[in-house]
Amino acid sequence: MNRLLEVTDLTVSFTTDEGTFRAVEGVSFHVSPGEIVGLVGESGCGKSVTALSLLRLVPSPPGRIESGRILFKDEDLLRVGVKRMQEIRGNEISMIFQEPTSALSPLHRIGHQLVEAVQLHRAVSKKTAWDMAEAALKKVSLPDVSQKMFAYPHALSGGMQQRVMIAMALLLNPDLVIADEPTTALDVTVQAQIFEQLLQMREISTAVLLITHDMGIIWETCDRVLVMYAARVVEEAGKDALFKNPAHPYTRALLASIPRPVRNKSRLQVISGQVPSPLHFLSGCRFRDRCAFAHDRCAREVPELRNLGGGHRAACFLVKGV
Amino acid sequence: MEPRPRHILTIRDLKTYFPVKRGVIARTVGYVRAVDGVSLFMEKKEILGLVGESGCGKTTLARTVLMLEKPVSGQILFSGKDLSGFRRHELGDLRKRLQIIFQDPVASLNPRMNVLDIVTEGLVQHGMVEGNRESHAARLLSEVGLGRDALYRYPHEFSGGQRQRISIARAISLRPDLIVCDEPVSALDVSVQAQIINLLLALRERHGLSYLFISHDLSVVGYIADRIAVMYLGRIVETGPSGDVMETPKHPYSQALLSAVPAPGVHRKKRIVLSGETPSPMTPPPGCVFHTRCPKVMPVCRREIPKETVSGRHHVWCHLY
Repeated sequence: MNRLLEVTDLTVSFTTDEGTFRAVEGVSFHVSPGEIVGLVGESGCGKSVTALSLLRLVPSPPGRIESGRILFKDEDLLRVGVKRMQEIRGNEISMIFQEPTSALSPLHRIGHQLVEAVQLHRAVSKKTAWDMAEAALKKVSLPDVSQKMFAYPHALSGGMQQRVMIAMALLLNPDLVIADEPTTALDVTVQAQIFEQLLQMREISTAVLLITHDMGIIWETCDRVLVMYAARVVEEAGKDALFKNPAHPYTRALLASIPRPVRNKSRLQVISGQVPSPLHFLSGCRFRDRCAFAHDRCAREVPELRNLGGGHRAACFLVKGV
Repeated sequence: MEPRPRHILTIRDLKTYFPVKRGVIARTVGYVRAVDGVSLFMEKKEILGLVGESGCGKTTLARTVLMLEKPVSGQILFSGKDLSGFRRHELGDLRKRLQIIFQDPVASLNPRMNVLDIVTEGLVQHGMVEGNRESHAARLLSEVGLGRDALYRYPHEFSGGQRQRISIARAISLRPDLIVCDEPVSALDVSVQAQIINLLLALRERHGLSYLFISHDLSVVGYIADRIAVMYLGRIVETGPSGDVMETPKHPYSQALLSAVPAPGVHRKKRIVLSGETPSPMTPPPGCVFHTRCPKVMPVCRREIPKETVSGRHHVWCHLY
């Protein structure tokens, strides 16, 4: 299968006053053209840092990409020059951030910001760029496009701002869009509108890497899922396999702790304890202190991702590989 | 709605407006109709889930119930007593019985106070400390699953879930009857969220509490609440037992809202995607407030405010019924 993006053994560390820690450790995954891949995990698991590393946007210092390889269309993004990287950002790989309010410039009109993005990457006249921007906004079904081009971001609602961000991300037909919690700040009915747009990206064979903490969103949109816990990938599977046969105890517990509207109320299953701080990760398997199935070996060794067949992998000693 | 003895809270045609002021002399140019004619009741030991999207007025409604906002008109009866009839200094005793848990425990816990002071502040204020303050606080903390060692620590030393436990300990310290929970789990990770939901349910059993549970997350509300009220643009559009509202929502807005909730692991029917945005609460549309976005809109919806239709315990305000 041809691969658009192939990340191998990515490790990113941060140095703070309290010490150095690894926010991402040995993460490997791939994305094929037109595929929607979900990266799910709780706060501090390293999912956002993984996303930022792909575009080399991890602030350095304090961050440092220790090792790894990020092959994008056979080019290692960790080796290319700054200039080439600027060409790639926004053009071949674009990003949608969680908070459109802070991602859009409050001082420039919407149209100006979109035109700037076009002219940065394409040698076109302002008129052409303006038309492209209008077309992009129409595609995300923003109402009164020609008027909105002259609006400042504060004049738009959160949902409209996020649609502007999506329009900007799709403006130059990128091969890959990285969406970091794109609907977290939005209401459910607006969320539904944004989902429809994400799903449409698949039709124009744009791949999406969707970062979220919400299993519901994963279920709605993704083809394949990576589950992260404490800086590592603990499970990788096709969507259906993940929801039907979750293999890692963390994934299982996470799925069981989602409240579902049911008439007969049993207690919600709970994962005891807290999400660990990256400064105090455990040796061996990092989930062992919250895991109901932990045994001696979990403390001694780090479980590798084992293959369960059909692209399903899980990092747990209890999983029987094939 | 007549107040009944088993109703802990009865709200009748409540309206809370905020004036919008413009210009140098701050002339009032209009009103934001945050709560625009809401009638609701809550039974003892009941969890009423209040759902709606941002700006629908759910938080204002809760703040009005707590007398943190002054209503323009309408009545709030708490255990049969009309709250608007009280003077400020008479409210003290009632305030004890009405508590709140906020969404953001970082903002709602004073960073300069230690946990002991936080959870006993209300007790001291109301002169309710029996014996030793420390042992009293420790007992409260054990109710919410925190140890004695937390007493002399400060909010920043705790994780989000633990801070929410401290807020809960503070809320139950005065032995209230009703706790308003304003998005209490929205800022928490899924695994921690489940712990807090279970804690709230256990405390209700132990102390016979009622919760007015506000959330935009329908799966959480559907799980925890006995009854659900759906709010849109300052009005209640539907109320009913949780199961009924979640499984067979009647109002087109509730239907759209529910169809937009991702249900992991369940293949479901087509999502209803509403077009457009919520209108401004300064100029709500005439007739049914939802008619500008309603997929089933009829001419009558543009003219007349829909009346209540009742079937069993399920109430809906829509011209379709």
